[in-house]
Amino acid sequence: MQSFRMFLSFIAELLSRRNLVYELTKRDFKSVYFGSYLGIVWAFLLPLANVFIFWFVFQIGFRAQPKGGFPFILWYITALIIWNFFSDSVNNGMNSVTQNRFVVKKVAFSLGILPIVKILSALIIHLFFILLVMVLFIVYGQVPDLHYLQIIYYLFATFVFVTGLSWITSSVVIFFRDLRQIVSIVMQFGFFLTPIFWDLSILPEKYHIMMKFNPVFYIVEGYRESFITKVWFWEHWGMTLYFWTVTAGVFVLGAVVFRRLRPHFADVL
Amino acid sequence: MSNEIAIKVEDVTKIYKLYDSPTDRLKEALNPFRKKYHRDFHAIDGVSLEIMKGETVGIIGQNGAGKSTLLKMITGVLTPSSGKIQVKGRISALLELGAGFNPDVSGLENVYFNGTLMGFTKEELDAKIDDVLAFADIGAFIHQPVKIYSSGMFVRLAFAMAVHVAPEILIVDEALSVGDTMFQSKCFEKIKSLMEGGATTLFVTHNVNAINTFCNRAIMLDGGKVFSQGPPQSITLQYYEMIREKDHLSQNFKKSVKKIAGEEITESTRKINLLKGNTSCISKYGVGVATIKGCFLLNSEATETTLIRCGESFAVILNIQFNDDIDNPCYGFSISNPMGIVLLSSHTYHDRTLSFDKRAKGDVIEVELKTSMLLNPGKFLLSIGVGEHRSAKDFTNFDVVKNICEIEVYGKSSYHGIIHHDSAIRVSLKGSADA
Repeated sequence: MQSFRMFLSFIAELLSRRNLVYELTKRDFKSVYFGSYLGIVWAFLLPLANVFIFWFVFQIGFRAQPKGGFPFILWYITALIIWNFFSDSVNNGMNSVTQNRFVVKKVAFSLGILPIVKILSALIIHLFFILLVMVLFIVYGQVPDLHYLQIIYYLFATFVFVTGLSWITSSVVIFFRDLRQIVSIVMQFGFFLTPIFWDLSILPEKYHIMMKFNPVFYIVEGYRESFITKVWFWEHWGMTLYFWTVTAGVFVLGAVVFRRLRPHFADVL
Repeated sequence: MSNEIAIKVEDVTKIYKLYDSPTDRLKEALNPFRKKYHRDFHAIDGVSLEIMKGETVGIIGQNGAGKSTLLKMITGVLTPSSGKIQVKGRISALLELGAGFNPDVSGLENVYFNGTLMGFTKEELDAKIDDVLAFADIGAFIHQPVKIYSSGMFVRLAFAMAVHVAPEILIVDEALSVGDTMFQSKCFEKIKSLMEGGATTLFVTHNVNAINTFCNRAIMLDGGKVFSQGPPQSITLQYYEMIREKDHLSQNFKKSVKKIAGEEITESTRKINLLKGNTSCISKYGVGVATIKGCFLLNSEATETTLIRCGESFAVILNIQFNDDIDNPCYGFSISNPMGIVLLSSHTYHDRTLSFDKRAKGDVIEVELKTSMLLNPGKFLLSIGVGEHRSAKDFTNFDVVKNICEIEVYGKSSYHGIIHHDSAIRVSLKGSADA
């Protein structure tokens, strides 16, 4: 009960600092993407290089068949952009507090916004990518339809999930440095074990249930459903219910863990 | 000053938990059964304070007394282990030499970043930035990354930032000791104007004069507790007494150590031969006909110390060994400021009324030179010497040792200047020019 009250006051405190979140996000985005010479170009170049490699290996090398009449590149990039958003958010979110140690020790403010700022900053880039993907689909002759709106829902779902996750990782990593390496390994596994460059149908039916335990699967699949297979999220309400149960758990746990560890930050950093 | 409380500290304790590894801390914070993994260190131990709106309070205490910890808790950066802190008004703090500056980005960026965290919008900061830059006066460096700043520039910018955000409570921790004198006086002017505007100011400094001039009240912390609080003059005096006492204790400690080590102690009553202390900045010259073997400094209570109160009488004692027959020996000491200007001296050479006995080769004598401390509070250097005076122009230095040790003069400085004196001032009306 005490934890729950802690959770509510934590969320209320963050909501009251919306203006600060906005200002800091602008600042962070500028410093990350306009800090080096090619700046924002890198943000696009890296994922595009990745797309090119996978396209080359799978379409040219393995002669992968188009999925349901969609070229591999469209099918792959839809999943990749949301995975990239997820992984950028997890990595940057985790380091958000340690990166700002100089200010954590000197200025008192709502530290809980630091991971959110990093996630929002990654979100800006992600929005560009969504536009890029839409343009690609149009170029390949797809007509935009209502299902595209579903992206907003999945984006929101990702945001809530990753915020909870970052609250946990960003606070725990201060006390337990090894978490950084562990997370990086988990993310590698995640990339290959989530159906991003492969399709769930290549796995035997009995393994599908295992895949569905992964909350990221829900999001990645959701993006494909919005752009390609045109399925609404309420059509598989069981998965939706499962995802939101997990996400709510992670979100509340994240807030409580962060709030509990916060008084110790300045002592350790 | 009003009757409104600006800062209320109620029975606050800060326990630093000492862990053997960072992981232990995590285990403890998350352990559902609240298992203990640490040893306790009490940085602040049950402190209660009330600071009124508009007050200027100085906090003094020796290193490790808990001053910075207390300020950090008031600022909200650290969380008290127990107790309550209530603060009314916007706080602007300079903790441990400066604000939270990111070393990799420019000073300007940092000012905006910190300003944003304090809750200002970009527009509000744009309106203030010119004043901040003018006050900091670090020129084109403002566009350079903070990591290349000198410590002075860093503090200038941090201070400029802290005072220009219209703080209702200003907290300054030791930051002013870094800047040059010009900047320091500029800072104090600014603090004064903030005080006049009704701001509450809290500062930690070892500069006792600043506390005496600026504060309405001083608080002395010792060992994490409030040792005493009250008018600055009496608290700072107490502070000096405490240092002196501790100094004395540590001397006794050294004495016992020496005895254990079996080292030779030449004088039966005096133990602290200043010549055998820290010899790093000593400079020595002379022809060596006589040698100063020992030098002792006594206050009016005949306690060995290098802390002398204003107006107090004190004595310099020299142990001298003669290596040849000398007809007109003379002895003296001088006290100079760090720039090397002699402010006070006592020499037998100048005292024509006294004659001193001839000395034979092998004589070992003790000379006591006694006078009163006529200097205002500050830090000074002691030099001593022995020589022969045959006529006004014929003088030979046998052994001169300069800058043996630092003498700290403490107490209430009555007037500006270096001389401590009592003066009487009378004003009387002699008529009117209009008539």
